[in-house]
Amino acid sequence: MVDGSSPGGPPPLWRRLLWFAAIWAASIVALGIVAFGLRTWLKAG
Amino acid sequence: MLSDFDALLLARIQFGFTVAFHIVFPAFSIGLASYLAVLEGLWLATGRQVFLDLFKYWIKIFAIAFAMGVVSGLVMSYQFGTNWSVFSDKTGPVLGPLMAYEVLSAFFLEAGFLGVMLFGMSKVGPKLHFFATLMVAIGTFFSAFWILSVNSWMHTPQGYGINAAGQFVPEDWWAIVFNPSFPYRLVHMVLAAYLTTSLVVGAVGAWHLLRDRYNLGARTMFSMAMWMAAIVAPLQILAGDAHGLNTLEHQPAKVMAMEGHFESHPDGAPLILFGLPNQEAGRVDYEVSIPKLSSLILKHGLNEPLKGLDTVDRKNWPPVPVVFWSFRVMIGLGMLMLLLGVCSLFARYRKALYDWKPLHRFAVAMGPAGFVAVLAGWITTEVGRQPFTVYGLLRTAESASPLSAPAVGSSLVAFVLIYFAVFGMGILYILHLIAKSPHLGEHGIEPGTPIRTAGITPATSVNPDRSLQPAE
Repeated sequence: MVDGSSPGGPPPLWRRLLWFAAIWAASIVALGIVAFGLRTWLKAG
Repeated sequence: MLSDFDALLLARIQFGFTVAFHIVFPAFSIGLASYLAVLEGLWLATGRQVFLDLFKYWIKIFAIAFAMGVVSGLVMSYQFGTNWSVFSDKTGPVLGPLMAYEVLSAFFLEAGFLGVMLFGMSKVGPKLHFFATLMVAIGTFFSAFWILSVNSWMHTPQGYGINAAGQFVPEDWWAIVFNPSFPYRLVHMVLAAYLTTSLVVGAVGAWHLLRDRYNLGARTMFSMAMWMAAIVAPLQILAGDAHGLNTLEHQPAKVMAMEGHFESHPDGAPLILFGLPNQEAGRVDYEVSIPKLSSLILKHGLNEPLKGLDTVDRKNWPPVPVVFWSFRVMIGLGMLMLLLGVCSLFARYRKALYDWKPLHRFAVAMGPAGFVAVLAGWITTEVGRQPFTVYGLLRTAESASPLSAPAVGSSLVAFVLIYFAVFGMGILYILHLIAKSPHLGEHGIEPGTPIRTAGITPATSVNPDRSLQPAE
């Protein structure tokens, strides 16, 4: 889950920032899909 | 069978049951998010592997507690619509935006950065990962900020007007958000979350110390937790006292119920330690009390007058026995937490923090105490607010949806069954995780070697590159 090691040296900052933004956005999208599903389910009920 | 019950009572039981299940998870995750940020910060600052190992140990537990908190929280907003539609309609213009801010905090700070925190270390590097951990910790605080602002407004409403439809409408947002009881409630709850987490972490550390007193991870977490207990427990008592004085000013009937003061005391009121409140007769049976001490605590004078419930219309009395006893449970546990902190300071002074088994057993026994105290505190404040949802303005009986008892009762039965199954499994899994010893890259001292400076060999001579007790 969490790995503090960085074999072969750290990747460049721009790549780490891109990963940061991508994981953050993916998390938001994942939660958004769950929330939208719940909203649809409740409205249907 | 369910038609024999009162729909309002069933709706109240349902809300009480679901909110009691819910609050234990935020109480844990608010404190644990900050603890994880401290652990990762210490790892970055010192480079010591033990802090990263503890971070890895607790982040799995945090993820589960966080998920259960989110799921159980969703049910609360669901009930606002189903069982409390009149309340939602009347207070929606004021409380709706505040709850939306809470959702935004949870969405964009907690949940978003949690993904980076759980899965991003190898991709984003330690410093950006630490930033994500800090954002999650700050997000949990902001969530607490908005929810407690909502709750506090229901206790001490201000900054509103009432429109032609009988709804509360906002007139001054600053007054609404920073209503009179909000700062006290926020400080009291956030400190409670930190204390609850420190007691859990301390209990886990003590549990593993009882099995292996050389485990460096167990030593570090136990030491950190005992520092927190020793510092935060007295601060929490001071914060609780200030909150009580604020409640006396704005919700005196609640304090009368907490104190068991059915009668007014013009020449100084006693502090009732124990007794059996008899609401029908308006007295406390078999009371054990200390004369004038309640006046000293609440009014800072032995002979200061204190009004009793005899000055309040009976139809506005809260259920006194529940408030009276839940308050005593909270205070009693708070005193035991203080005792644990003091004992840990004594053990630290005697350099026996990792060797004193009675202290470890005491810490293990106190592991759930924070959760029980949080529940008792919330029962005190919420039952003490009755018979109102918006204090003095909207009665609980006038807030409920026009539902039949079987409709509310069947969903209550479903909630009870599902909650015990789903959250029971989650809690069992957390217990399974904490039963495992912290897995360390740095193993600490091998059994059989000197472990403290009280012996002949100084600990640092065993390994001169590091100190033995990093968190002390």
